[in-house]
Parts: sequence; C-alpha cells; structure tokens
Amino acid sequence: MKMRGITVKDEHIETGQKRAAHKKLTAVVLLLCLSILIPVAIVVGSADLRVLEVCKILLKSLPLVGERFPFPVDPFAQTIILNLRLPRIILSILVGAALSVSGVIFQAFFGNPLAEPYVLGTSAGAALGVALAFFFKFSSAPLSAFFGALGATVLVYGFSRVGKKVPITVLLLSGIALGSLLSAVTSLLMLLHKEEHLKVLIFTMGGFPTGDWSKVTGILPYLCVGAIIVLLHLRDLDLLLLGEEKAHQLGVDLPQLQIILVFSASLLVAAAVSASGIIGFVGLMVPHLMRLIVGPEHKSLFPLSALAGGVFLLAADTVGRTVFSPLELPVGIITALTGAPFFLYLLRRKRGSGLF
Amino acid sequence: MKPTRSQARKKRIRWDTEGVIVSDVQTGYGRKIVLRAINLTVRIGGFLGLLGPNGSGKSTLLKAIIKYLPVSAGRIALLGNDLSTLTPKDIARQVGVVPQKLETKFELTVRELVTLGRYPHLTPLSHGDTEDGRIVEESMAAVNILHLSDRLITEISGGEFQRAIVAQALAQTPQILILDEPTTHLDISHQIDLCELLLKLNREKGLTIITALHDLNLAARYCQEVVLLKDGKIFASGPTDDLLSEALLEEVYGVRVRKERDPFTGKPYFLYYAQKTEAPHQPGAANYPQNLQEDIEIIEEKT
Repeated sequence: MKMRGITVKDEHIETGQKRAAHKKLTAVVLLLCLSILIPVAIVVGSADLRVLEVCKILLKSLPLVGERFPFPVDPFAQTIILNLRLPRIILSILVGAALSVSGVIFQAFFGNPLAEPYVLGTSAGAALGVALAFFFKFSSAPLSAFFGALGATVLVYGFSRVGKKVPITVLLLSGIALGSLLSAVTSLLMLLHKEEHLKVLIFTMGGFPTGDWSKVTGILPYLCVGAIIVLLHLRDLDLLLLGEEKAHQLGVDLPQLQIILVFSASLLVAAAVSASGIIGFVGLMVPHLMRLIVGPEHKSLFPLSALAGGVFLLAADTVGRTVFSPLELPVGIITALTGAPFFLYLLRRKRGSGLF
Repeated sequence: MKPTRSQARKKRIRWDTEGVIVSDVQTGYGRKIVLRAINLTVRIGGFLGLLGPNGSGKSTLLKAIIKYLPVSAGRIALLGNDLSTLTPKDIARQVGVVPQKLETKFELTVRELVTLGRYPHLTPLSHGDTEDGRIVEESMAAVNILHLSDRLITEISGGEFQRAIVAQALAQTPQILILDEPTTHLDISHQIDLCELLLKLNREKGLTIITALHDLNLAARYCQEVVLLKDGKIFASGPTDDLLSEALLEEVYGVRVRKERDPFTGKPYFLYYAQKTEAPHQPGAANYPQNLQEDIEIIEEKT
C-alpha cells in the first residue's frame, strides 16, 4: 500500500462498498455467461447440427407440450442432443461447481489460497477409489471415490501438520507426492484391468467422454449433501481465515468443524472425480478470481465460486471438444494449460508478501 | 514465597462469584507440561496483569483459561461455570481475546473482521439483525476505527489492525477481556492509547481485564493486581504497587531494578540495570544492597 502511493489508498477506502456492488454485478454477469454458453454448447460439436434443427428437437422434447409440435425430427440428432450433449453440459457445470467450491473449503481449512483438491492429492485419492470400485466390481463409484478422497485428505493433513500449524510448503509437497503416488496406483489398476488405454488416459487427464444421465443422477446426491453441509458452515469458514487459534477464540469448535469440512469437501471431490476423472486447478483459479472481486467472505464467495466454476468448466469442455474436432481434448488438459501457469504466478507473487 | 497458593488453600473458594478462578491447574502442550499448580482468582471488574520472563508460561495460562489448551489437572471456572462444561461458543460469548499477533492472508475489510466477533451469538442460518449491526458499529467507535470500516485489513497500519482486533473482541460483548502482550508490536503512543482504552472499558463498562505484559511500567500504571510467573509457576501475586518491589523483580528477571515514583500519576515506575553494572549517578545507588535486604525482609514477613 505504501509503495503504491496515495491514489491506490483512496481507491481502497471504498473497498467495502465496491464489494457490495460487485457481488450483484458478478452474479448477473455469470448467469448471463451461462445462459449464452449452454445454447452454444448444445449447437456446436463434431456432429454438424443446424440451429433450427436443435431448436426443433428441444421444443419436441419439452415435457407435456413437446408432443404437440407437428414437425418431425431426426432421431439421430435427437439422441446426440438429449443423451450426449445435454447431460455432458450439465455434468461439466456440476463438476466445475464442485471442484471450485471444494477449493474454497480447502483454502479456508488450511488458511492458504494455494490449497486445492488436485494439488492436495484429494482428487487422486478419489480417482483411486473409482479405480478400485472398477477393479472389484463395486457398484457405486462415487461412494468408493468418497472414501478415497477422505483417506487422501486425512493422510495429507496428518503428514503436513507440525504441532498446531500446517506449513504450506510441507502441505504442497506432501500433497503432490501423495497425489502422484495414488495416481500411479490408479493407472496401474486401470491398465491391469485391460481397459482401453484411451479411457485410462482420459480419466487421469480428466474429461467427460462418457457423459450420460446416469452419471448426473449418480453424483447429484453427493453434491447436494456436500453443498448443504457447507452452506450451514459458511461463517465458520470465514473465521478459519483468521487462523485456528482466533477461530477458537471466537467460538468455533475446531475438531468438529474440521471433520465436517473434510467430510463435505470429500463428498464434493468424489462427485466430481467419479464423473470426470482428475481435473486440476479449477479449485485454485476460480475462487482466487472471485476473491479478488467480492472479497473472502464466504456468504458471497461460496455461491459465486460455484457459479463461476460451472461456467469455466463448461466453457473449457466446449472448447476442448470443438477446436480439434472431431478429436476431443480432455478438459483436464485445458484447465492444466491455464491453471498451472496461474499456480506458478501465485507462488511467485505471494512469496514476496509473506505467504510462507 | 507463594501467597496465592496458601491463600487458595486457606480461603474457601467461592466458585460462583469470581470472574476467573484457576485452581491447582497443570497444563502444557501435549506431554510437555508448562504450568504446574497454578492458583489465581480474578474478581469481576478486576484488572489483572500477568508478568514474567519469556517462556514463563503467560501465554500458556491464557490459552488454558479459554480452553484452547486442555488442562491436565486442576480446575478453571469462568463466571461461576466450570470450564469443562462450556463449549467454545459459550466461552466466546463471555470472553474476548486479543492475541499478540494475528496473521491472515485474506483481505477482509475492517467491518467484515469486526462483524465476525458476533459469531458466538448467531445461529448458522441467521446473518445478524440490526442489533448486531449496532454492536459492531459501537465496537468500532469505541476503539476509534469507524473511519476505517471499509478499508482492507491488509492495508491499515499495525496499530489500527490491533484496534480492529480489540473491536472484534468487544463485538463479542464479553464480560472478560483477555490480552496477550497486546502492546508488543505497538509504538509508545499506541501503547498508551490501548492501555487507556482498557482502563476506560474496565472502569465504565466493568469489563474484567486479564492481560499478559512485558512492560513493567505499563503494568504498574494500569493494573490493579499482578501475578508474576516464573518457570511455569506463580512466583508471587498481589496488588500491583505493594507487590512489585525491587527485590522481587530482581529475583524473577535477574536484573537490577530501581523503583521510582512518577510525580504526575503517583504510580511506581522501574529502571533496569544489568546485574553487575553500578547504577550511575543515582544518589541511592550506593545503598542499593541495603535496600534490597530490607525489601527481602518485607516480603518474607508478608509470606
């Protein structure tokens, strides 16, 4: 502040008021983005469908009134739209929201803006859960993913806790080490299972090649339970930003809250990973940008991060499946292409300001 | 040498009427025991200073009082309630804490920070009503930071941030305020401001204040009573002016101390010298060993 001079200081006098205005504006802009992106994502793709045709199919498939429209539709196109593109769109929004929100939770939990399910190894734990479910013919992949995510998070937390503190360097290093260990096991399991190599690749890179309605309904309960639990503890998350000791001084029951948060974050990550494999950095970038705009208070940060995460992943996935069409880029590649440099930038920028 | 301990044994402790009662408490970090056999009582409306060298256990004791550290033996009561029966939220409704230093990487505004002080009074779904808003405003006004309310906490000065933390503690509407060396990172003007504020809160609102301090002169000027800790035990305790003698401070801190009296406030103040140094240009310096002997005798008579 002192270095940047008086003009900046004046600007920040109004930070409080500016944030209040930004909250509404951001919500409106994000909803607008979503309402433009969804139709675009329905129309574009490797199967060349015309806008008119798409409209007809959508009208035709409306419940109750749909049957009354007289025009015929192409059943092939109808299948593509209703059973491939639409569930994929919804899935990418849900996964984006879940990843972004779990980033918000981990960042408050560890008191550090660099914490994120991919970096911490939680996603890798969930992926191992999915692979094990696959291997042992266990029916519920999300449940198995949940235990994987929970286990990985508890392990990383246990590893990196020194006394009452979690040094961020130790946290990141143990998260990355555990993450690559678990990923290696996952890849091994999947290869042993003689799955197609492409499928393994897409799963570890993260993507939605097999988006269908059963996946949406499969992860929805996990998302809802996880989100509702966190929604009831938004203010507790605010307090964690001040450090564990201050949070206790203000009345937070720390052990209880930590269990609740790890539990709900694991639910969210499990839902995301079992639907789409490992997608990194969404939980890092989105909350960070939202925090810049609306501040760290979770009452606004949480819903806006969810919304922005959905928009971001839908956009990334739509780009991924259209730019090199008919070849599909796994969405994880796109988030890593944007997210990893962002992570490095944060690491670099924050070092000077006493993050470590 | 330990008046409090014997007092506590002789006097029947009235658990329901005192602000804070610490009785035979032993506590520490994990297996490492830092404090043993701690007895102290702070009456409601009292102003207690906690003194002692670095590592004597001042912060540890304060952490035990708010249940941040578990007590491995003994008992603590807050306003008549046994600490073990209270949840962190119960405690936060009665006790506000100002830590020595608070670090956060997150850019809250001052108002957002102070508003978090209302947490123990709110349920998960309520966002606070106008009454809560009024308390937040009053708390900020009390420490004179209303004009900063929309600024970021990362952009205000250390003294202003410290005041914001005090405001947050006041927003808890506590009956007891605990401070852990609150003046350590402040310049002298902010030190005096903070102490005057504490005195005002203590006198006007009847707030019970317990503060760990390094500065003997601030303690002598503001605290009604002091407790001297050394090596995890209570070395001495009592009314500030009577207790803080040259001999006692020398014994606790291992430096030579001269006690003088401030002509303006009438309160004592202290000058410190290295153990082997002759205090220069002081008329009384030559007689120092004799004074010291008298003081020791006085203390021995008391105990």
